Amino acid sequence: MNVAPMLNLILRRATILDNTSPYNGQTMDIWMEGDMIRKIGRDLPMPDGATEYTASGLHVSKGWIDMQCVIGEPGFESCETLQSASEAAIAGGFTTLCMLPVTHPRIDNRAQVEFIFRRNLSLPVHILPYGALTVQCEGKDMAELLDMADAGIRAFTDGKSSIENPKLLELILQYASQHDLLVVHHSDTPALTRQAQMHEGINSTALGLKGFPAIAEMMAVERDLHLLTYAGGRLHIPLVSSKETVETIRRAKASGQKVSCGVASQYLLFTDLALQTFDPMYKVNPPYRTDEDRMELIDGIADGTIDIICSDHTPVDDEHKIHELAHADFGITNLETAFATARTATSSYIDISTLIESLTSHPASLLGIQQPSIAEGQRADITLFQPDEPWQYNADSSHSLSHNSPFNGFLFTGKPLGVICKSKLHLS
Amino acid sequence: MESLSTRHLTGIKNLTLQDVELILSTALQFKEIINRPIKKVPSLRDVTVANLFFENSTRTKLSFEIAEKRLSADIINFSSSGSSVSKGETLVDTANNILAMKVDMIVMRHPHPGAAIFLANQLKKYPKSAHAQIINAGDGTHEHPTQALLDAFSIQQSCGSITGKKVAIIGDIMHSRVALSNIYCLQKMGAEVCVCGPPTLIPKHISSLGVAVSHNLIETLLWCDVANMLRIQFERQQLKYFPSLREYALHFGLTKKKLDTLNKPITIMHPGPINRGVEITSDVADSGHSIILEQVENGVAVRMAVLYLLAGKHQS
Repeated sequence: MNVAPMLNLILRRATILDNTSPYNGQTMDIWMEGDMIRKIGRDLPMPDGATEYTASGLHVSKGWIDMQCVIGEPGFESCETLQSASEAAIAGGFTTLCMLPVTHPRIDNRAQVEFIFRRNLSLPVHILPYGALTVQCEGKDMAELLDMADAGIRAFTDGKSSIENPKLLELILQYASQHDLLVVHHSDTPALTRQAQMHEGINSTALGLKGFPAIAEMMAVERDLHLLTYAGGRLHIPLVSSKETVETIRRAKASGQKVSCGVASQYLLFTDLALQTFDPMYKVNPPYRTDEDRMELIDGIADGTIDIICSDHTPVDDEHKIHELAHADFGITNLETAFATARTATSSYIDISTLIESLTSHPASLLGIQQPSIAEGQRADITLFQPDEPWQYNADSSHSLSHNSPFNGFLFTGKPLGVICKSKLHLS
Repeated sequence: MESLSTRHLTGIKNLTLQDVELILSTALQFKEIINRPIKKVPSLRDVTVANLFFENSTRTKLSFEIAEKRLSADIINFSSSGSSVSKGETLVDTANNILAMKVDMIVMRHPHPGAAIFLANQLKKYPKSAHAQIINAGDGTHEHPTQALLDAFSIQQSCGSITGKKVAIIGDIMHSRVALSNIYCLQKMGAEVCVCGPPTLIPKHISSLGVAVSHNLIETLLWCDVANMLRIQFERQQLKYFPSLREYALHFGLTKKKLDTLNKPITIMHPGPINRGVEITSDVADSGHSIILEQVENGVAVRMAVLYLLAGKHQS
């Protein structure tokens, strides 16, 4: 990875995709000095001492935000550190990562929040922790949400643990609403999904595997929507995977509920057929479902039902992944491939601007992040990418410390080139 | 010599009809051999077979062991209790360690679906283990291919051709290790298959496999030529899937009284072990229509055929 001081850089012939920029859709030169965008125009003269960067089909947008990823530090540093996740984020085009609080110890109090914020100061990208909704993410007692909010947290989640007690979730929504905090709650009905390994359907039946029924997700979403109506507040459903869930959220949004939702990029590409050889690299939670579900997810992005696309990056070391399916941990590494996966899966259905909004303005709005526009006088927080570039992913060159990627050797369309973040250019 | 299309036997699903027919025709020859005064042949001399049983088994393990001995293989046995598995060793490490002792074939029983396919795929990555051949002796609720083959062989022996026969698989389909393999095998051979049991013990999407689904035992018995009664797998049920054994036996237990109402003969099978008085009463299990002990005998011949054909594949 090449890092150059971004004291003086000019990007040549970059197509700007930023609907808050006066240059949206135009191909321009962009001169940046220090951490600021100084000048945008056509055929800008070379500033004194500036370095120049260009690439065929170069596009730029606001820096991408990954609204759901797991980082092992503190506690599971053999899987991923804050530094290795940052490098993987750069390779994947992200300038901001929102990490789940499922570290050891959990990020369920102000001290843990401040630890991450302190570490963030020395990292090349922004890493924002979620605070836990409940102590130890155990779904029993509410964590100190306001104290963590005072430390700078705007969104809270228990990761992939669902709060089974509806009264507790009601109280959390009410309590969080006093400061307009975002409650991010994973949708599952645990009693219906115990020991499940994949989507429940024709393929799980043929493989003899216990499945996640789609209704387990939909029932949880419907319950949470009722609680949202009753308690107030803002609810984000981080990972939708089934057609029924998308339809439920579409109806809720139409009725004016303050609900948002996301999808992880890999769900736009894979279906439950991927499990045919019991390969643990395809074991994820929620599971890959049918092609009908996959297409509904794409439709959901296109019509605005699904607000954001995330990586759901979940680094798992070989010791916990390379096992017979029942013993393998859920999840894949995806920071470096999230954009490429989404672009490859959706290029025939979703225009690039919509895709970029799901990685930039939508998550920024949900999280209350003030993202600078690509405009003169604004701070430079930018992702560089080629939306139509074919390329092959090589897991051996991954920056992540874990190698649980199903994409080794995969041919993608759409390549991140690097980011401009914290006054520096970082190339993939 | 004809040979199988596969190096491993991980399931029936990926076998061709020709593979199945080759195994059954070879089994017929071995059945003749094991009924001779001298039952042993030298076919697997200098071949070492490891029986890896990560879950309890009595008849399958004994059946494989006898089949291996009749073929003159060298045998080592391994069970998970008291082994390094209980100390946290992975499946791949266990297999690699055993294969490092110059073992040629692994017969594996495992509690988790897909374990045999997973192991076969993983061993390709290890040059010293890549030669090994895997025979699945039951992987959780996925497949138990040799049971399905011996069941098909037993039906052939009892009823003649399988093509067009109506076979009912009755009982705990949900937790069974044999139901899927039986469905795949019987369908490949041209039989019609129906599964019967309470809805809570039948996978919701099973009809997508092309089988009929029934919750009425008498109607199913009237329909079928062969009834394969499955055991209630209490050890795999985290919940009570039906209120009581009494109620289950009343509705789904096979009794002589129910058989007598049919006015037609039915071939009765059971993969064992039998819960007498639950899914089948003693007077049915021990009756002339039952081929339960023939299944056990045929199991040895079928497993000899599988071992012999796979070993030939290896040597070729």
